[in-house]
Amino acid sequence: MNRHAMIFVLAMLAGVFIIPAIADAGLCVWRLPDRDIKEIYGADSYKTILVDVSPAHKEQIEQRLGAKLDPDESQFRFWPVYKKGVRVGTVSTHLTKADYGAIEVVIALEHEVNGKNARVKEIRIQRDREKARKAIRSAEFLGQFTGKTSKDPLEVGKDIRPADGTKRTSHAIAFSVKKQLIAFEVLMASQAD
Amino acid sequence: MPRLLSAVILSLLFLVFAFQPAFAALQAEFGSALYFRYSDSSDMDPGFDLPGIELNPRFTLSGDAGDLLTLAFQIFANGTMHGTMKDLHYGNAYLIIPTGLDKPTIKLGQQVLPFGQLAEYDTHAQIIQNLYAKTIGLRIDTGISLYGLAGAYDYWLMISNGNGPNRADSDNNKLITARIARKFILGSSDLKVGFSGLRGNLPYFKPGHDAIQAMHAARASDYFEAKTLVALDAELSFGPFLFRGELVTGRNKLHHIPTGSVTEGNALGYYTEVRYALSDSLELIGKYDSWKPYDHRQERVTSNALGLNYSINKNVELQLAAERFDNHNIADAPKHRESYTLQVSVYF
Repeated sequence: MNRHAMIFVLAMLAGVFIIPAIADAGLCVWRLPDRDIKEIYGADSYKTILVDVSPAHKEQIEQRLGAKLDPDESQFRFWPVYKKGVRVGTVSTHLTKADYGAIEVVIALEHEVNGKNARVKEIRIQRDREKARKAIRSAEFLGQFTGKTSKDPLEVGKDIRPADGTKRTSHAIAFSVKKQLIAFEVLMASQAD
Repeated sequence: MPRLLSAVILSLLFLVFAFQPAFAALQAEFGSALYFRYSDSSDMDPGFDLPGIELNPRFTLSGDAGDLLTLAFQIFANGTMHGTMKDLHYGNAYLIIPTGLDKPTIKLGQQVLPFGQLAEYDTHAQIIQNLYAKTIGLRIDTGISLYGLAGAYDYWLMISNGNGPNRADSDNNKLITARIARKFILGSSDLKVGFSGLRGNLPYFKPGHDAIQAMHAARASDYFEAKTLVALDAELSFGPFLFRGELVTGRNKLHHIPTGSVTEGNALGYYTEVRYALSDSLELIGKYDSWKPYDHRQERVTSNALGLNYSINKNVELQLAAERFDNHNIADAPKHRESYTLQVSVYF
């Protein structure tokens, strides 16, 4: 085996065996920002905010979430939304694994102008390949999240009923909502806009 | 775009991003990816390969109540990909200027042409590619585009050089591309249908010598092809099933530059792809495509492929594909060619 092949094999092994250990990136694109802000908030603009997660923030988020952040979740992305120049909420997105691959969740929050007292305004699924697509996108399932705050359990079996036919995907969506709510409060709500 | 104008725009951008105005804040993101491959084909020796290591920095300048500018690059840091194949995959470098809700967003620079599925389906990291290399021979081009929403429709309009990225506009003949698309929710499935049109002069690749079939494909420099094409594309997502299809037709005019001779004819091509997610990590892919650039000639290229994508996690994906290319009635190309590729994509 020549040197290039050796390097290739080593790199492949690194990719396959080392990188999985730092799995599950949370960064996710926002596919339909204009349509979403118009339909959810009746708003007219948004801006992009990237926040680095310091060790202190990480500890705080993990403690409140009751789970570890994914190792590559060292930065979170939020989009404050404005209507005629007044902030009316914040959107974030999260990519997670469901029964049939990646699922992308849009979390639309409403809060005071300074970001305090955040609660869920609306949850949308922007991309999925689930057999139970109709159930997980239904108002019956997603509507349960409306008004929830980070103080709510946001757990399937407690305050969230699973969508018909898919407990794992329901859990993944609920966990995404909880994580983004807590991350918003820790990373954004304390910042003056 | 004249070089002086480009230099002025780049200098202004540098000043804006380097010395942010008091009312604005700069956000920077640094993504990157690398691709490893092992490939074996009927006309080349098997071997390992590192096609590309890329850096994808993105800078957004935001005002008090909205994003003002976004500057995005796709930098080819290293790798073996070169020539036409590299031009198809690398070279994005553009500025996005939002002008407000219900108004078009302006995109200026090297960007993906919004023709057919290219407008919304990013083929860059895929082994199995769709029809663009055969139908238009370009994916990324230099120009200006407008895109946005018009009621229930998404629209795109682009004027570009028609030469590909990092190339001057040698003929001053602009390529015009437009697309309109709409999404329909049908019970538990999503259907997106797009209609696009394109007109202008484009590089010519002899049938059987496109960059999808041959890594070392090169444009035939003695020729250019004037094209007027339309495309109907669809994406149907039905649970674990995903179907993509594209039908391309129109008029091709092949110009032989040294003699001035012109060959004219109707073109017809189509592409179908089916994906099925077997689990949270495993996906099966099948595709078939066909392209006949001139109806009065017998030349036609087809290909079919079978592939498997395994998502180890969200940062690492393994793809395996077997593809067969058939060159029908093409004198100077092999009748058929098979290729087998294993690719590991790592995003970080």
